[in-house]
Amino acid sequence: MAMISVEGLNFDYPGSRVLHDVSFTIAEGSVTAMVGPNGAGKTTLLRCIAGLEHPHSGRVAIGGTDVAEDPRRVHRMTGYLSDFFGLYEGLTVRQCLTHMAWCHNLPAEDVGPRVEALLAETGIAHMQDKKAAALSRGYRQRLGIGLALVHDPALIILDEPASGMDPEARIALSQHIRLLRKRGKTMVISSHILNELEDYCTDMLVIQHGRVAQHLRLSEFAARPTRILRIGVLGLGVAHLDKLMAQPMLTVVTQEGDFADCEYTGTLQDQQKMLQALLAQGVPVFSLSASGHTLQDAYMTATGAKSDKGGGGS
Amino acid sequence: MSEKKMRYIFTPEFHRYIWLKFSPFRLLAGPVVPVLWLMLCGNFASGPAREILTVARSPGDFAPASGGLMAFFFIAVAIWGCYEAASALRDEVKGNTWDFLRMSSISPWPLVAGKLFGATSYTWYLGLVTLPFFLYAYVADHGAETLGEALQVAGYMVAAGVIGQATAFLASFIDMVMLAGRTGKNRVPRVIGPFILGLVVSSQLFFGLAVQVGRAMSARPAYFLHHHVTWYGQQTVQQAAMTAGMAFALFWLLFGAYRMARAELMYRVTPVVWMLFLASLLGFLCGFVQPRLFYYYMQLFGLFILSLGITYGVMILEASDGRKYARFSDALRAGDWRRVFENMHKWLAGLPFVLAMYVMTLTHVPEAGLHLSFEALGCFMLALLLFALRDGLVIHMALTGGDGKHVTFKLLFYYVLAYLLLPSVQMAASPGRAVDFMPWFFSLFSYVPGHVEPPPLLRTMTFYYPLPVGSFTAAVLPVLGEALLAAGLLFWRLGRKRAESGPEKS
Repeated sequence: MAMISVEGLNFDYPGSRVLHDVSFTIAEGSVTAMVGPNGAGKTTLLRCIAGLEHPHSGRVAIGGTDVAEDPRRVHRMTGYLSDFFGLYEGLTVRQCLTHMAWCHNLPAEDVGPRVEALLAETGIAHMQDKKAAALSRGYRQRLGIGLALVHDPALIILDEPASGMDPEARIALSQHIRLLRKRGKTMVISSHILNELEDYCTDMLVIQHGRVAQHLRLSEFAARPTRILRIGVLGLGVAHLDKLMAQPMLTVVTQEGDFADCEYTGTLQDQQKMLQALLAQGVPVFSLSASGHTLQDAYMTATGAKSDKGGGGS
Repeated sequence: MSEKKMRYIFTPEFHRYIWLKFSPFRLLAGPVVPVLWLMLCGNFASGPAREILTVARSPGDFAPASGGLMAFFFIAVAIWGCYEAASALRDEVKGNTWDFLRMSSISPWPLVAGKLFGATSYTWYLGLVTLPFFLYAYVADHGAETLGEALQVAGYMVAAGVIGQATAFLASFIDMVMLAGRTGKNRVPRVIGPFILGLVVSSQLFFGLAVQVGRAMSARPAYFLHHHVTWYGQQTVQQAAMTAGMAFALFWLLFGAYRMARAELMYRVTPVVWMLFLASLLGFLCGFVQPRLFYYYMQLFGLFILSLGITYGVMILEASDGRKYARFSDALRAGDWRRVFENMHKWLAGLPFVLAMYVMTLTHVPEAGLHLSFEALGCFMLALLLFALRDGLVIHMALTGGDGKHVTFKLLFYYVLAYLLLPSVQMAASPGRAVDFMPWFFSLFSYVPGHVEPPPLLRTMTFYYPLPVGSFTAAVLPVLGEALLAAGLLFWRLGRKRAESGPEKS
């Protein structure tokens, strides 16, 4: 069943259109990485899904509820953490969570236990009496996530949740997201840190220039026979490239110095035979590495961007 | 009490402000000023301290005490309170906490009441702590029999504070929504404008009512305590009418904020309540119109101007929210009447009331005895309406679909060009024909039988100003042409924008 259904969504800021006829569905229980370059329209799309903006046209439904028809119902089933969220600096961590639990109309007897549970889950129990203003970036982020989860929403939308976090905090966030995934929550996470998204995402939605460039299930991507091979050839030239392209099941995608990035659809045995053939033909191959089917590969394939092998998506 | 089991006080937002605004020190500091002031003015001190601290030697010496306490109340509730009310939303949006509230299940009324009364809670604490001391000083000054009057004064002081703060809060809410419509992103409302507006309203009520009633500040009997007014034929003391007026204003200020909160919380909002507001405002004010007076029609004319002024102001405020027009236009094309109504701008919803006041005024013009003919008055009012529409349409054309920048400059440029530069050029091209305009204009409304012909130059100025110069051709036709031209240009621009950013298939 689709948790999120977006059909023909168009959104304008004064003077410019930022979302163009966006349509996709997100399955219940999935964790979707929303990726794309800065200014692609990711945050606007997330805000439309969360029912915080009025789109120009189109339809967004969450769990079968039309956001435009009943946004408050959608808010009750959605937890949203904005990329630039703020905290009530003068309140303690516990007061922040208690206040948000009250705002979500939790029954009075459930407020205390829920706050306790969130303090433990987000790892900020030992900071509960500290003022929000005194928290470090990582702890602020944990509290922000706690505030978004206070009403135990079925859908969780996190916009750049790991930005500015130190490695320890990122690992904690990763573990927390895996825990939520195990509980069957549907999540949409916008981030630039692709190798971290890879740890817990099931789907990837690539947004470019306000349009859906690609929407794929990562398991299907990983299962596909094509692999990316990076072949190093000493003094790689036209003659070598011709010999490479003559190999069956091999397609040269790009060349960079002595390296050729290729897509290969053969088996490992085929690959071994191809290497032997290249060496027999006098091609001075000095390295051959196969990359896995990473989220970064998927992103690069979707956007046609060149990998910088640095881990950043954009 | 442990917070784990604690329910919130009043609303979650109010409770949050209690956490933020109150501390043991602040609680203790609240009564210090009124107590010290009363000690200084009264005779609370004893022994040698009395000689040093007190200035009151007789009951009459309590006058400065009650006056000083009123001033302290005004500073705390009206000045500080209005500032707090005006900045409540700014702090929320600037601190990026607004989205958490919008995504929560909080309802509009708990949000509005919590923010308005929570943000100002400490100022009210200071004010309310002062009131018992004020009542004591007032009664000590004027005698025990004046306790009722003292309570009345205190009631007006509280009302002045609440209405001023509600005005500041609503103004900042309107500013926030207007900015969001204009820029699509920047919602941080300004503080100074709403604060000054709230302070002006609060001051007017405070000094106009509370201080007038209180003998502490004025020995004269308050005019409105003894004067009578008629409302729909019922005679009542003016004070009751003013109290009703304040209740009316407070109701609509709070209800207005409630409606703004509904819109921010993404509930469906239609202009029905706006129409109800206009209807009730005009209905309330029409009750004071005196049918027996010759100038009956002029009072109705005043209400026409009021309804037109409100609609005009709203039209300018809504000019830059082009996205709402786009949704309105799409819904209109699709024949989705519910969405049409939801996206209808308030100025459009207000037009029928302007037209109703137009008809009502004209049907009550006396048959004879006016300087201004029936035709001239009708054409003048129509010209006023068309000038308002022309301005609104031109400003829409300048702002709709823009980037939301330099709005004030664009508005000023238009007004200076349309109402100053262009007519000045025309005037300059007609040397030696200066018009003593103002005496002529006001003489039109005085009770002298016979019509007065307008000065010749004015007939040529109807392109620039709404003028009561007589015929439809002279007074209305020029501005009708301008309004139609502005409408045509606006539709052309909107069509172009639509073509540029129309839905595209990916």
